[in-house]
Amino acid sequence: MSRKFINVEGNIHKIKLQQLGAKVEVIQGIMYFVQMDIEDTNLKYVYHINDKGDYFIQRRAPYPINLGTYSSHEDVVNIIKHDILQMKNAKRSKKFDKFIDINKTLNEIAQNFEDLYLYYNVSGVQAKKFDEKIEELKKLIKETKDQSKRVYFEKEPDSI
Amino acid sequence: MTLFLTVSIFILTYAIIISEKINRMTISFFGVILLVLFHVIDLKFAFSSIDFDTISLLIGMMIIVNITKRTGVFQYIAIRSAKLAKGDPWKILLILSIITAVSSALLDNVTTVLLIAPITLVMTEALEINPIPFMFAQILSANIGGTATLIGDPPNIMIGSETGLGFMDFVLNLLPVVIVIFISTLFLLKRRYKASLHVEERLKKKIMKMDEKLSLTDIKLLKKSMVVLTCTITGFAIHQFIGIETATVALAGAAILLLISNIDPEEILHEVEWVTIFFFAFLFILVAALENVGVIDWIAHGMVALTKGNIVFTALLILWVSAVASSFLDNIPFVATMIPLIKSIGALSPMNITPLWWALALGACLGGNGTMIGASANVVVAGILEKHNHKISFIQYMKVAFPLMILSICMATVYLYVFYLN
Repeated sequence: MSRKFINVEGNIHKIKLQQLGAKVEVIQGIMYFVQMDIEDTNLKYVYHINDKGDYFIQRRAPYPINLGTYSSHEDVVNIIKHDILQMKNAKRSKKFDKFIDINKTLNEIAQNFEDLYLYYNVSGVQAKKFDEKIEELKKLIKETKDQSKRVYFEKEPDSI
Repeated sequence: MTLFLTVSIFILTYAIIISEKINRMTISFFGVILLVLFHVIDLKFAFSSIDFDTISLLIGMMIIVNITKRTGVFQYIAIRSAKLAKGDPWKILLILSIITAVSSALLDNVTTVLLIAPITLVMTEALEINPIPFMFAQILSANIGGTATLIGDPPNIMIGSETGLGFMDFVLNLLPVVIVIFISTLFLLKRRYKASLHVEERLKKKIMKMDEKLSLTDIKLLKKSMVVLTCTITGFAIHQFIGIETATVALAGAAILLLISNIDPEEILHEVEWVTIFFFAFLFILVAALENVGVIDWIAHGMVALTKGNIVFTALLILWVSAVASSFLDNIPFVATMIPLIKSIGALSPMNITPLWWALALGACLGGNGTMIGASANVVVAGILEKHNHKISFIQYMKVAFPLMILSICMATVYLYVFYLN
């Protein structure tokens, strides 16, 4: 995809995201920073357009998470649109702040774990303990899902 | 030997540019280097052959546009206009065509379509309608609009720079016929597409729900850009009366806007189309080398002998050859070669060559509409449509556009004959 076509694709994203109420900052025509305020919560996304025409999207705030890789501008705008709608929906819950805190802690844990195995020689016994704890956490997520009422139907869950 | 080398390198370079096998800037750069390596020209001659007026005008306008487009003003105007049209597809097509033609007269054609195409695609997607008629209209409008002014299309910039004809000379001599051609083209497009441009009311409401104000990203910058753009266009209009070049006007506008916008110049210069700028520079050197060995004078002698110094025949020959050639070839190298040729014709015969410049401008700019490869704007729009799963074939485009191009050249013929050649 030549630079001209990348610019056109980028401008289409920009117009659609702006119409959703987002602020879009474009760096050198290929990096897109999208920002949207939901009351006092700031949502931030980042993605880039490459010459293969696929888009790797990441949410940076309120906590970082990979939103996947997509091949068309419609998918990019849709995934951000759903994410904003889901966040708006979740924001209505009294437990929203707790949900954000837990997610931030999970991210911190992932970072701590990476530091642990990059900087220390972790024994097999200790590693097995992590496996067990993670299995417990997975079971807890499934159990919570089965006990809870679904509240968003515009899109199917990506991982559970 | 020098003559043989120059002509061979020139023909080979132009043939490869036409074949589009290698990037046009790369091959013209290579052609220039061959001329230097074989001692046909030296670097001093090469640098002195570059028309820095054309180069400066292009760079100045690219800087102004690159800053102005950041404000979202083009999207604002397009959305506002579509809402004024109440979401009616034909009216949207009409308004976007007018915006494209006016923008093209003041900015580069490719820049214009790159600014208008995204918002057009968003609107046609909202209306659930085929974008091809809209994009077709934009190609034609960009090339027609660009014909009207000195800064609208690269051939006109080159003609203006080499001949001393000013911005208002182009406006006064070309705008009347361009308006007639534009209206006729839209009328014929209406006959062709109007029946297919109907959508349900619920889809029109989607357009009405769009908020144009959300497109405006920086109001302060918008105000600054509009002031500078207005002053620059005013500067173009009066440059002959105040004794400054159009290039100076564009560079002054660019410098002032860079200064007052306080944007990192690295970001703006990154968006200047340096490949196009260098392509122009190398073309000027190639043509100057050809002129230097007497080939241009030799062709001019041939043309004067063929036309017997008849201004009507010469002007119409230039108009029609330029139009047909520009339909299939890149009009920039063609015009770069035609300019010294017309100058030589002027030197060899007593005829007033001013109408020949208008014939060249009309032929080279309007001819670009003839085929999908006739102008850069056409290639870019066809590429955009293909990326969005709406491929237009070469023949499909030509069936619609070639007759419209021929019609526009017929109108130009009548115009030139009645007002300049009679």
